Amino acid sequence: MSRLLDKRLLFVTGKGGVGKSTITAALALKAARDGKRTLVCEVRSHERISALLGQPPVGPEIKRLEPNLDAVDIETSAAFREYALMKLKFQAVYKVVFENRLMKYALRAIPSIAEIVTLGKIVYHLGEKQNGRNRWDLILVDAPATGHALTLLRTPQTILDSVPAGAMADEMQHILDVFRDPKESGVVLVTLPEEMPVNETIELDRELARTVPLERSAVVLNGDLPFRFAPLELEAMQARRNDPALRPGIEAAEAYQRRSDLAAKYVEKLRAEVKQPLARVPFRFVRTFDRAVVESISYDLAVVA
Amino acid sequence: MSPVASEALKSALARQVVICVGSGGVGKTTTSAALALQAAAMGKKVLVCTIDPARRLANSMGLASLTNAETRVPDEALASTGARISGQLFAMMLDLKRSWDEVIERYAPNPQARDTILANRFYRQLSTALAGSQEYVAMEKLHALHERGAYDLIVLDTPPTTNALDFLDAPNRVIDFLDADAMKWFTSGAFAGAGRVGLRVFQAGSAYAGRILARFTGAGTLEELSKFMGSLSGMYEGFKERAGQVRQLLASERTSFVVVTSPSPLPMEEALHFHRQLTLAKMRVTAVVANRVNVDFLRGAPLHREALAAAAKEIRAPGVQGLGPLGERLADTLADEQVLASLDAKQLERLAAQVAPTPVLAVPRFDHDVHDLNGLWQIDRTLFGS
Repeated sequence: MSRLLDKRLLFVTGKGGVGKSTITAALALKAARDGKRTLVCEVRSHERISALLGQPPVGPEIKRLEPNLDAVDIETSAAFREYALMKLKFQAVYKVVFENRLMKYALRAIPSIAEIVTLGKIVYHLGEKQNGRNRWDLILVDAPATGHALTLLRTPQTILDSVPAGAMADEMQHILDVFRDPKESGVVLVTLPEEMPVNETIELDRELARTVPLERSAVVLNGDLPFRFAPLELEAMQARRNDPALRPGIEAAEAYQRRSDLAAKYVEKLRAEVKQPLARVPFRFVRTFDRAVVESISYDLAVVA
Repeated sequence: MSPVASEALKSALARQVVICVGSGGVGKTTTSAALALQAAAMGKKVLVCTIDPARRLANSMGLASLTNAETRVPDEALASTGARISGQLFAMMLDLKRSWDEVIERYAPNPQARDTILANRFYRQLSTALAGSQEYVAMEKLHALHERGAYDLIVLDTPPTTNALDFLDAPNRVIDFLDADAMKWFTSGAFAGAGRVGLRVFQAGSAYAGRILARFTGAGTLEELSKFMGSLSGMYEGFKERAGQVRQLLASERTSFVVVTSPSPLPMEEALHFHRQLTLAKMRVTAVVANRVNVDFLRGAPLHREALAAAAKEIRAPGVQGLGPLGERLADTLADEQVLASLDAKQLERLAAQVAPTPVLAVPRFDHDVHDLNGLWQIDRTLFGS
């Protein structure tokens, strides 16, 4: 298996609220630090990555965040316009088309169009050249949550099955070729040590294996709670519960360790069901999730990245 | 919990419909189930319609196979809470595809149209992938259940939307999707390129748009979409009528909304947004429930690391090695928990100020999974007292 950040295209996905954007941002910082020219693509996002890195929203144009690190927000209608102009070359009529309210309607009515332009834009950047070499060493996609991510990643095959030979079929075939090459691309699954996220990750892993030719490259367990107190200690503390100097500490220790045990149980379940390399990112007890925290997380990811 | 807040939440259960809204992962399903259980304890015949329950929670409510069917939670299961529950609790899981099929089966103008729709490839997208589709079918289900009048109360859990507005907006979006003008366009053969003589600009634009779309999707796809829209057109008025009725039900005295959140910044923002939008739309938000609130183990007192370390020296746990001094770990853990507790307290204060006069009810973080009726009952004790 090639190293994660040596690939050229990585999708980061998982259940809503598990910290996909944080993990994407941390991977991006690590890649940039390793000297890779990195582009982060946010998809239908709330522009979280730029905020995590202490930057204003990036918008639909590529923007430099720091050395080796650029970001872009892929918004469907802007991407569609760009993609259509670039690929289909119908400048002369684009105004008539795009200012047509029915066209906007069709963009919504045929959901795969949003996916096509999103992937199309990502793969376009993958092929972009500058001074005779690839403009980007690595593209990281902060992909939508599980269900939408599956829809997005299945789109090339779905479209290929339904369009006749031609430009669109070639385009989808090209995307599938990128997907099929584990040196080129992969998916990172982010999860939390909790029941629903872990179950969803296991199911997502199976669904991807069944329907998308991308390599599932790594699993990141976010918000892990490492073991802190031994059972013998907790037992010994019991006798001291009524000591006012100790009581809050004992209660906090018990609460922490219960959650830590629960987390360990879910890690075990995950390991039993999903065979990809696993990075455990300890929960951060912090007031704000700023760049420094994201940077510290980027070191936790070294085991898989 | 303040008795006023508990009473307010109880008053919600006296209505016919309670809708729990909020962003994903904040415990909306659990809260919905806990509210339904409380209503049952108040003697009501109540149905909780959940979207995506954890399997163990579903199992504990008797939803073994996670179906679209309303299932009565057995009395023995209710008795396991140790409480005297005189009402009846029913639970169901909303199956998106199945519910859409029901809508089509029930309202298609004739069997032929029904079969055409159910077999169409675009139907799958409408029923699973269209933005707002899940919310829409939840409303259709609510309409059907409410119309039947079999329950004193229906508690509706809502899909984890990324956009707070999706839920309220869903009927409009689906109606928009079925827009009569657009339908005319799709069914008029605009993509065939066989324009009529003397095309006006609008039509010319549509024809262009059609041809360009066809380059993305292939002409066959558009023909199929066109056929699909044609077969749906007979149902358009019905969709619109029921959406209007549901909207009326939601805005009436019979319905109340409960906003569910956690004290984390993002869900909090979503909750505030929800509260604002619902209030603007003249819906009744009875309460905000904040789950997983971290506990202040120091109860407001400062942390004295040295005193703690000194006291901890007395604790002997022979054979435990390599973990470092216990006193330091206790102090660190207390400090860590303290960070979360004070953050949450601040967030809740801000929340309460911004949603006032709507009461905010805080449910402490449980250090175990809430996955059975017992756990739900424990939440109810926190929310409603004993």
